Amino acid sequence: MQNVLPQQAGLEVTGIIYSYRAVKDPETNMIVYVQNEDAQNPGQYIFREKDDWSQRPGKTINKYIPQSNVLIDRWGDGSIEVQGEGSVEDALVTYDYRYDPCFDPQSDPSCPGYVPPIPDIPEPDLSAIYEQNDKFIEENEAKKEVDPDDSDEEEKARKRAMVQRNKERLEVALGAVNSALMTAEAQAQYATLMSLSILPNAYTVQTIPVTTYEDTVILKDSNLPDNPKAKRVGLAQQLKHEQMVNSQYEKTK
Amino acid sequence: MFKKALLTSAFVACTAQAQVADVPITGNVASKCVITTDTPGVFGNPVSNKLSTLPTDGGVLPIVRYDIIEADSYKAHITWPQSFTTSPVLNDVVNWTGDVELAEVSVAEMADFETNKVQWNNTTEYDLTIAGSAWFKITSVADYGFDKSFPGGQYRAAVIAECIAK
Repeated sequence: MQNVLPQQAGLEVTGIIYSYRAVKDPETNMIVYVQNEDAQNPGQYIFREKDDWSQRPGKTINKYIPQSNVLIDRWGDGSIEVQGEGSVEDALVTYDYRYDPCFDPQSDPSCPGYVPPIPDIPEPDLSAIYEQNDKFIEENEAKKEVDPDDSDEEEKARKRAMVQRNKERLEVALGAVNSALMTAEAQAQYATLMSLSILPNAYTVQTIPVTTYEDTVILKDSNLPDNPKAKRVGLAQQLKHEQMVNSQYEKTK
Repeated sequence: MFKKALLTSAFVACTAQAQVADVPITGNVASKCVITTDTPGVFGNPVSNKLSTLPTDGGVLPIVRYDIIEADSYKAHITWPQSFTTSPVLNDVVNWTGDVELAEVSVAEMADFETNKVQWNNTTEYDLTIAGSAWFKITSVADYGFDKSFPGGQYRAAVIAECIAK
């Protein structure tokens, strides 16, 4: 069937139209089979139509056999088989088919069930890094083996000094890189800002002397009399207040 | 007491009258036998006194298709022509001959139609006992006078194909 139907995934056969002329003696027996093998089940047929011309005059037959959308991969080789006396002439078999463009939903984003593909992320080759790491470990191990008599304290002090030196070198290197990157103007601005940011020690570092401040005024216990003048002033204020309060009622009257 | 009974019966009568209704029934009948002209015929004119639909005479056989939707319910009557529907003025006799033959079928068993056909005069009757499609071809030959030439002009004739319910 590869030279009959277009080899396209999702192609479905919806019907078969065939015609032929049965040539025979009306008094003989003849059966004609128009058939297609089932490609997925050897020995079986996906389509087989029988025309019994026994004891009948031969005629031209035109027939349409609808199919229930059978996928292309089921259609095997087709043939016309004649049993009995007689022959078939001018045979024509036509396959009616349709193509389902969304058979594979991934073929078109507009198809139902389409899933956006996830891009393939290449896996980095870490073997070189592992090799380097292994080499480093081996070298260190070798160094350890070279100085087996070093004491722990000395080793620690040596490591600390090495780390410190590395830090200093890194700072110097970073400083050099930064200063190289800066323009002259930027450098000037930086210098100005730096000068502003430096405060004299007088603002920041002061020592407060430790001193004890003793009480100098000592009040002796005595009788403090009321001030009569103040009492008068207080009463006058009270009177004035009452007048003011009452005045609002007088106005409303 | 009598008055009361009378009233009651009148009420019942009124109620019965109100319940009367006309219930319409509609229905459409679609023919289960459809006739279609598959190929219109053409008269060939091999000799001056002969008009023929036979391909050997240069004509085209008219083919009529019967679509039988319901088996064993109809009979086909096909009548080949015995006169022209359109022709120049003819002063002599036209001798008509013809034939109807089952040409093609959609079911092999329909070949029996040909075996069981009945002919009378210029009509052929087929008993449509099987559902499907059947193609009939009609032969029509007209001879004018005694070897007389047909006058020039246009000639038309008609085949009558009928589907008659049993």
